Amino acid sequence: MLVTILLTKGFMDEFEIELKVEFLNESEDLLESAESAFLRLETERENADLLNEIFRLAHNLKGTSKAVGFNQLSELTHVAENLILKLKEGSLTASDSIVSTLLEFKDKVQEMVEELKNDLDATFDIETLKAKIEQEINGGVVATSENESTASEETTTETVVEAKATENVVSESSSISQAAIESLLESGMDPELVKQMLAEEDTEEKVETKQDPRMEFENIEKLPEVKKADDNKPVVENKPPAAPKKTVAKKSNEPDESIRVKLSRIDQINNVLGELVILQTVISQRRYEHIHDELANKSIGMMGKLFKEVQELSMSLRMLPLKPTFQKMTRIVRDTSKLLDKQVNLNLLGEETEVDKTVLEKLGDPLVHIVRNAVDHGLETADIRQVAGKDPVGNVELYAFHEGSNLVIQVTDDGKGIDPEVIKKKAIENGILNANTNISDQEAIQLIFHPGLSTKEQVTEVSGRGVGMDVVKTNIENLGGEIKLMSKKGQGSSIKIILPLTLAIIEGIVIRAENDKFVLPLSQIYEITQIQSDDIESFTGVASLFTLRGEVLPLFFINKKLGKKVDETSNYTVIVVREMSYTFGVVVDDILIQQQIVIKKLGEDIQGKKGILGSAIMADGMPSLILDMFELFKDDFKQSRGYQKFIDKSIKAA
Amino acid sequence: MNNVEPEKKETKERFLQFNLGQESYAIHLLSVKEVIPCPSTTSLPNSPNYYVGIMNLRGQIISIVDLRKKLNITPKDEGLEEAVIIVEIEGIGIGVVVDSINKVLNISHSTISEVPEISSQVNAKYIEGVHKTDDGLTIILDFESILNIKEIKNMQNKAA
Repeated sequence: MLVTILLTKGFMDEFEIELKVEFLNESEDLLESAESAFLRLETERENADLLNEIFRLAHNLKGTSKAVGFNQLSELTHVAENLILKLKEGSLTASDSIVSTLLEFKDKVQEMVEELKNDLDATFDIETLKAKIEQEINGGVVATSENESTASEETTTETVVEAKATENVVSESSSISQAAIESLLESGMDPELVKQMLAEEDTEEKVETKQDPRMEFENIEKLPEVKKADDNKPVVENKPPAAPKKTVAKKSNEPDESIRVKLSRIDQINNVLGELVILQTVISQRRYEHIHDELANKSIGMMGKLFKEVQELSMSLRMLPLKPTFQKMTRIVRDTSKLLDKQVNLNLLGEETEVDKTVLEKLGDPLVHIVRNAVDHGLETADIRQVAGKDPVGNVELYAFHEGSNLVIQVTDDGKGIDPEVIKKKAIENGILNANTNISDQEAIQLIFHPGLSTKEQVTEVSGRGVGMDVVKTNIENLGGEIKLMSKKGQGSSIKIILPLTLAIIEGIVIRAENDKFVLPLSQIYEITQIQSDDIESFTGVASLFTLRGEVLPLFFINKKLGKKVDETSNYTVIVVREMSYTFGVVVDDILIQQQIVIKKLGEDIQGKKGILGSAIMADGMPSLILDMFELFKDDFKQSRGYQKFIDKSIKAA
Repeated sequence: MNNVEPEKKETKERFLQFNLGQESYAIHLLSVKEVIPCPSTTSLPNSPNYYVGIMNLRGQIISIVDLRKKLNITPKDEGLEEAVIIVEIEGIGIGVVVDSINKVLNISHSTISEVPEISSQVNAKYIEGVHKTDDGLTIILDFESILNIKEIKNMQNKAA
């Protein structure tokens, strides 16, 4: 109603925009809970608590969206709410098609929310879905009038009753939109403010409402009494008010115990705390020599402990549980198995396992791919399973746990496994593998990570366009992780993803270039070797090449790249970098130490400089640059590639 | 500048005055976060000559720029009494090396002439104004344009 006032006045002030944006942000959480609730509905069809929760969610969404003025959204939610109401009352049971429709509804709302984020005035086509939901309300089968006549009398009358109920609900919400006011109050708006707005409307517009606005306004102030009043007059609105009551009551019992904090603030805290800990260590090391007051000494010791504790706490602020991501997989498995007509039982273990937010965000897509693959490529259809003597229902298990400073996610299926022979054949067909090469079965199945190898015979809607596992592998490796595949023909496959818990710390080696120290991430380093100056073939101005176990590789001097002097010696330390299809050697002056490196953001003025990943503070307090060798030498590598091929050929010819 | 009519109440602003070579310069005190003695820095490969390097300022990595080299001013005495002014403009923190710090000036707007009428070693687009006193001139510098803050912001927006 508030919005109606504003809109009729013909302006959209900042306050309203703020409300809308706030709503869109909050609705994400709402949708997430809705999705998992819908999915639970599939197995717990008559769980009254669950249905209540779903109804509350829908009602909440409807009310708030109407309150902030997203009319299409509230219109659509309203229809869905009617459907849920039917389920709640027990006049309908949650069939597969109803759950599917509800999920479709959730997807649509999500799509709308995303779009509205870009354009607050966006409009959508909601009629198709609305019709579909209404069809479900009418028993799913009744689509046209002809069908209606064939339906039994009972159903027809029921439909009529339902239609009436629907009308009631409609009139209720459009006339007062008490829900709107409630949700405004729920969303934490100052009651005084609402009061004011309503009062404003009172004086300025008395159009849309049938009731005296002041009445409502009193309602707000004395909500508990209103409930009683409602109960005492079961005239028109017999069912609908029941729900709002619950909503209000439940909400007040469960205060929101989390707040949204900007990630940058948390990073700032971590920064400062890290430095505090260092300072504290300095003081603590000198306290016995220089501080002779016992209490002071004791306090310094205590302080150290507290600092460490606070630091641990603040580090944990970036950690989030995997649960929402796993929840998403439930949906993926459901949709995929429905589409392929396979029966799948998904088992989730370790949902509470926590991981750094950045890692979590980038984990979603690869995981979707793997899970989808497991259902599509891994599991067989029910009849094939039965022939093989397995339970017709396939099992997919997602298991997450911590192992040292790593997060491990294991996706296991008990499907048909990967046939190494099929992979070999495919690889030879696609020219990935030489027909004469003899490789072990284990090596063969690892080929599925090779770009351009899809084992599925035909391209399906679900997966299998030839890109896939290689992208998954690259994604995981970009996160500094590893992916392992184990598979046994006929028994199933297991994919193990190993990820660092946080991206803020990497394993690196410290090198010296002239007088400066630089950090190279260990993940890029394939091996470290020594070569003699005679081993180097030099093409002045273009590239140097060296031979490593028969393979000709380009060789670059990091000092040259960093604008430093290159020492002429007879013995060079070479770091071999292997990333994707790029392999090359980098000559460094010296390798100092391998250690865990805390990545610090660079100042904004030099951020994103080519080849620099970030910086790290060394033990002496001096900053050092973390170099991305791949980025640093990428262009040089492309240049030298021609020479490499030429030499390679001539060696083989010789 | 006596052509300015006596105002109701003169607004005064504070500036930090420092030396580069033989001349006095100043910047708005509000953009100054702190002043520190010259820290040890780590150089950045392939950077322009005025870019001194990066430093660790209590856990934060900050770039240090030599203002004298950037503005082509001959230093007073190499490495004599250098100081670093940490400025923060539009959320970006940068350290600036100067010859020495003088004092905080409390200047009313009427004493700042907008058009630089004097010859200076500094490129005119970097100058925000000139403050005249009996002792001499102080050039008020526009750090935002000297440090290319706008360009940095633009680059970020593009990257984002």
